[in-house]
Amino acid sequence: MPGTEPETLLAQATSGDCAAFIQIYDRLAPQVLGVIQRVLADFEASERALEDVFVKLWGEAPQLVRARVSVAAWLMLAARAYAVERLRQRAGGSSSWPLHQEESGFLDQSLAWMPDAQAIGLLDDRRALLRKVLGQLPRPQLRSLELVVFEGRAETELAGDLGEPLARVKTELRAAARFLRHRRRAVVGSWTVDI
Amino acid sequence: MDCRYLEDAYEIYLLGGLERAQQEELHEHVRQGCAYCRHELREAAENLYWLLQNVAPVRPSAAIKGRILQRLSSSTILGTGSRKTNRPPKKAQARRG
Repeated sequence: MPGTEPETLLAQATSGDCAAFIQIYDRLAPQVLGVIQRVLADFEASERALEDVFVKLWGEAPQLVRARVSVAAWLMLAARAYAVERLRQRAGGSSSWPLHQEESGFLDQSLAWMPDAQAIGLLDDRRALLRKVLGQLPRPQLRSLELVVFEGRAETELAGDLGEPLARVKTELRAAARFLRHRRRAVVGSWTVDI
Repeated sequence: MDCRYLEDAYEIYLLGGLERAQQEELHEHVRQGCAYCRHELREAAENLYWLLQNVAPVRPSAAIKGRILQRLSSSTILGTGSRKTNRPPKKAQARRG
């Protein structure tokens, strides 16, 4: 069933339709692996993590279907969280990072705020415009944001990495988040917005 | 907790990047069911999806699909799903004969 939405396929998978689950994999695995690889920069480790994320999707499927969340959003956010956790373990750090992700039920709690398929569909439809917006983010803000997203740096660590006061780092990160939020609202709100 | 104070912190929270005390405070606050924060977190999650969506895709090796199917059919599934047993789907069982 080419073109069937991942949410429909996941619902089919909960009743034992493995072919439906594999369709989700075929459609979304490259994007998910891209995210993991960006974090881990190790192809073999990234593929192992990809396996884990999809196996986890299988395990979580009934809850995700009930909550009507976007499968793509769950996969991408779970993959990023999982990859950062692996990165931190690899670094041997005793960071508190996983506390709110795996250990404290990040993914369970995420069902309360995970976007639905309609919201994610709007973003997918406007991907080109949104990519253009990212290019408008001031370089220092983008760099700081990327360090948090892809290297799992916390604000305090980032201040040390960049040799900047924590207050400035916080301000920059929040400014980046605010910019993205406002621009995303504009882009998904109108096709004709002048970006 | 004054939720307005958190306006631009939701993305950083979802990324696990806040200072520990603030991260824990917001975590507990959301867990208690703040509707405003849940709404803001949903928007933040859309922002993060947007960022992640811009990463170049990477094609996995052909073997990965088979390894996933094998794990679904075993009892060694990782993760925290609520299914106590992770029996393989009927179709997968049938294919393996």
